[in-house]
Amino acid sequence: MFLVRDVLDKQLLDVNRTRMGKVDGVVLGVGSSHPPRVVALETGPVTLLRRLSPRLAVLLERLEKRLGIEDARPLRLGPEQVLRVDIDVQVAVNAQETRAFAWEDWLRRRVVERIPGSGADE
Amino acid sequence: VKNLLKVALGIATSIGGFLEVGSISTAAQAGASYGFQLVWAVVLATVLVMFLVEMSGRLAACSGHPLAAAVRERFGFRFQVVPLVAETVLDGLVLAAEVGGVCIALHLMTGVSARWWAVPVALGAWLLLWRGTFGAIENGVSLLGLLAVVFVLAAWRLHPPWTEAARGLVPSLSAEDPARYSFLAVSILGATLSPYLFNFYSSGAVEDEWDETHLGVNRATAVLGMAFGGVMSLGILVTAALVLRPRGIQVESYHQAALMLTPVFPFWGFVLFAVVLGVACFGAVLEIALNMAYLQAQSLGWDWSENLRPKDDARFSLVYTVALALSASLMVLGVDPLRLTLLAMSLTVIVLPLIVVPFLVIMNDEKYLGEHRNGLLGNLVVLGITLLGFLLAVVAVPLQVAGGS
Repeated sequence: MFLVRDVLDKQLLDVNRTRMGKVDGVVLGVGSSHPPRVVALETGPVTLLRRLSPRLAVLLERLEKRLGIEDARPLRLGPEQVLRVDIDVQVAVNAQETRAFAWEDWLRRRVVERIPGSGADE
Repeated sequence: VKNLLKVALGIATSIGGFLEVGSISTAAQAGASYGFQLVWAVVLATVLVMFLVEMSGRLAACSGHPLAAAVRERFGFRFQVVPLVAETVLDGLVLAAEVGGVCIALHLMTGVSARWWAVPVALGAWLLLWRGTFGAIENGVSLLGLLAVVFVLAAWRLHPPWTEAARGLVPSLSAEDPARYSFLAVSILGATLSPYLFNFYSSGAVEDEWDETHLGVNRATAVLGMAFGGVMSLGILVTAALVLRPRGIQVESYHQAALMLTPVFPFWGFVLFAVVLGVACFGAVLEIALNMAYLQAQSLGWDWSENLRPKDDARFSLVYTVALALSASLMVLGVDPLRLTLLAMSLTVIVLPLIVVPFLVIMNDEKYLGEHRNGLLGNLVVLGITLLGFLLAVVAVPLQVAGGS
């Protein structure tokens, strides 16, 4: 398996096959006694933006802090949580119980639910 | 019977989605300025769009992944960000042009200045997306879009000289103002091949939960739907060629284009043109706004569906909300919709290789398509016409901009 070709940027699905972001980054661990190995898969807008421009990623991080979305820091999934890798990457977590929907939740609470007809009142 | 109905509905959908502000205005301008000479551009664009729409449906049916998602997964974010930004900007421009088209239609009907209509139009579209489901929107748009058949009827009743029209099938360079002629050819290609169409179509196939059993439906929809759509464009071109050209009317505004139906339908012609323009553009507004949300959601891996309520799909719903607000403000600022349309259409052709080439690579990838990968013919036709369009655009667009329209 090739990390960049087969894992990076793939769709992440949780145990219920809910889309929970993409594999935005792969974290490698380097030790003196063994070759580099995958420590975690990362997902989150800051990780993604860092690949384009570290400076923009820092700005986004600051924005998240200011808005109070502390939860938005990248979510890490260990290799033991990975269930399956094909054109999607399925992991053994329930997305609702993770930070994967931090931005989604914030926007829902602070913006969408305040607009009439969003379904919040039904 | 149920399956047949499904096919019919699918075909109606694609015809309804075919005609919008771009194809109406470019076909009208082509007919008014060059008679039947640009028939080939409409036919070529229709053939290419058939291939591309069939491919995007096949991709979604075989892999469950729409186009934008597949490009990010296959090529990585650092590559995908380029077509993503290009397509978002283009979609935004075309969205504003479509909102403008609806405003012009309302202006033609009521006499109230087009700028005043931008906010109500965007608000109406937003309300439908906010409350509606994918099926309701798709079917509503397509059934109303069939009104455009009046152009075919008009062209038929004008008894066009068929042999002369058929001669337009062979590309020829016009003697009068060749720069504008090539620019119009490029615009026709761009109007027919709007990138939003492919991504919207593949997203729709995912929304409707297509799988490999839908490949036949997909092929029928793509070929017949796009063919009918092309016939309607030709209807506009022929009508404009027979009505506007002999009277020396060049289409520099929609008021002039609106005259094309009056000789055939003396009393109703003007209103009919306005209604068809308004309905077609409004349908496109819904589809493009939705597509902008699909693009972001699929590129970033969000959970997405127009069938979810906004509170269950907050990021997705906010994308089309912001897109509609921005496009309406462009119109309120008084940007000329016809000029914006032509600009967006010609830019489309320049951006097209950036979207089509990765698309082709994915269509040949066994992981996504399995045994339903592209054949050699499909690859060659699509690549050939795309590069041809690109070369034409690279030459014609600067010429037109330098010459001033």
